[in-house]
Amino acid sequence: MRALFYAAPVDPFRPLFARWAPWLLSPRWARLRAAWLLFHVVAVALVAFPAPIRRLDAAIWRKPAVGVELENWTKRLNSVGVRVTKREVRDFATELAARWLGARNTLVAPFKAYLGALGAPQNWYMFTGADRAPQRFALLFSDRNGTLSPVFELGVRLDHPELIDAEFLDEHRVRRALLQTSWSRAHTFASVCGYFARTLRAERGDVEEVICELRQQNVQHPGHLAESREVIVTRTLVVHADGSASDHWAPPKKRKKAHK
Amino acid sequence: MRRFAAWWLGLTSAREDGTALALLRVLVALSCLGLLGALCFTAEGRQTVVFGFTDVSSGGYRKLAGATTTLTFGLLGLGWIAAVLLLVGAFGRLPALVLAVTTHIVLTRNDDVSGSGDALLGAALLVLVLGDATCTLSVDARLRTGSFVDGSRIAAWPRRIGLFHLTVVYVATGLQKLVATAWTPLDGFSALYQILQSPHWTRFPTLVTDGDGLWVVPLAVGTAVTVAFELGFWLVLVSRRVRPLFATVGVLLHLGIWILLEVGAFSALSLAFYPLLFPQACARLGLALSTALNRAARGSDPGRPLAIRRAARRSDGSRDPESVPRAPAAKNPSCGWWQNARRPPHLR
Repeated sequence: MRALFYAAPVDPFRPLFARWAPWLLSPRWARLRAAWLLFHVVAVALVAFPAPIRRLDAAIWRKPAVGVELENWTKRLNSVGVRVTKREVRDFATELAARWLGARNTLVAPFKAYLGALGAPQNWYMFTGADRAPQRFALLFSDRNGTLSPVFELGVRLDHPELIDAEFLDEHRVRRALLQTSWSRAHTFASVCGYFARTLRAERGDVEEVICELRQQNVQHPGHLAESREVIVTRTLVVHADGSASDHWAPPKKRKKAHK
Repeated sequence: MRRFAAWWLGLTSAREDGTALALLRVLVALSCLGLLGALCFTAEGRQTVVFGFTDVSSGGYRKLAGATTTLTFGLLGLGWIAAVLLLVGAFGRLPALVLAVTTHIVLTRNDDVSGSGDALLGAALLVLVLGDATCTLSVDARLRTGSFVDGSRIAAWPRRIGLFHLTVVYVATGLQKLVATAWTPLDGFSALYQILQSPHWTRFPTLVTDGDGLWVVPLAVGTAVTVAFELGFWLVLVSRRVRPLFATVGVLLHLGIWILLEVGAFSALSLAFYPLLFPQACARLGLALSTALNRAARGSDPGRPLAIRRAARRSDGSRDPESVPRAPAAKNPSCGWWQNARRPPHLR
């Protein structure tokens, strides 16, 4: 009867549990389980504890959002009587982050590997700071006559819905990839631009050059509602008809003004 | 130290009603069906999968060695089937394990397009693999006991681990926010006001800027409440009294996120954990469901396995309830393997 009971298509692990039942119900297993759960809880807490995502290098400090934070902290420290400059605050934060990251990475390495193996990574960097100058991805193309046509600018316009699906651009994973084009140090911008170049060429035969831009515009701050917010192009990649690409990346001040 | 060890041993050895964990299972399965269904069965979802989760040779935007279209959609399809089985509660832990493996392989392959929702899904599925989530409100329970609702007791530690994971999510992200002045009074609690203008997250890019300052105060209040909620969520681990308050704020917070921001299944998955806050209320719900189902069944005999109930039918189709013994589950109020094992003295 018991064999019949276990033959039912229910939990396939149940026969195993039943076989090991005497041991699984023993005080020794209860202690072992308690120890493992303690290890698990400690591992989750340690790995999830906040830390900088990566080393604070010069590229990070150039980001407008980080620059504004640096300025705010300097002002606040000065207002409470701590006389420091922006550079001093930056150097202090860089050194602290490097030390903290060094010690933390050594400590959490085994726990991180354990949680990775379990499929439960602990990356909870959600809206850590407001991006005060988000960089929007914009796509344009030129045809054989040299006419420049905008395709889309994320969150602003979509001129050719027949080429790029509006719902595709609304997907949070696609938006996230477009966000990474401005934050990632890897080649995400070029890769994403290459994808759109292939898509445009597949849809239209007359596409000559595909141009991808990152357009930066400060967000409206509640303390400065009337402040003008100009748009500047921070990066441009041109994918030519032969597949070669030319990348223009310079500090924002040297870039042309796109529009107001 | 000994007192702590004894306390911890008691905490990890306790048993309780399985309805809270079953509700987590149902809600996570529904979230997965939505998440994977959108990726597999809609044109923009399929395009997103090709874009983000396949190799450049298969149409993706970056190199992901071995990630072909067939393999990726095959794994997502398998995951979707597993989510259906998880929803109905068939085959015990197996669907949760399959879903955890398939989603981990596909959705965490490319960091550029993976988010916190995928990490939270991993944590939820880990809890469902560890716990006996199909003890009640499941096909397993129906096959085992003859009723979809089984009041048997299961190990409480998987629910507690799930609750701990949710707490860590909130507290860790709350601590991270303290680095940015926009989340604090130092910059007038302006974080939400600024985030809702980001084209990468907001559903309505011009909502805030078109408001002419109308949203400044409400969003400052929202920012302050969000930070306080996240930093104080650990209180639910030490006091049951505060749980209704945190649950109410949490539901409102996630509703707000869902309406205003595009962050995928994160809100749905976070809310799926909330039944874990109220194991006793869930147990009462299970009891009410059981009573209602028994009343609706009228004449059927819940509390015995389907196979035994089938055997109880005579060859002419009429019932002979006295001819077969009752199922072990009916005598022993416990779930799965536990019911057939002899309890050692320390657990009697």
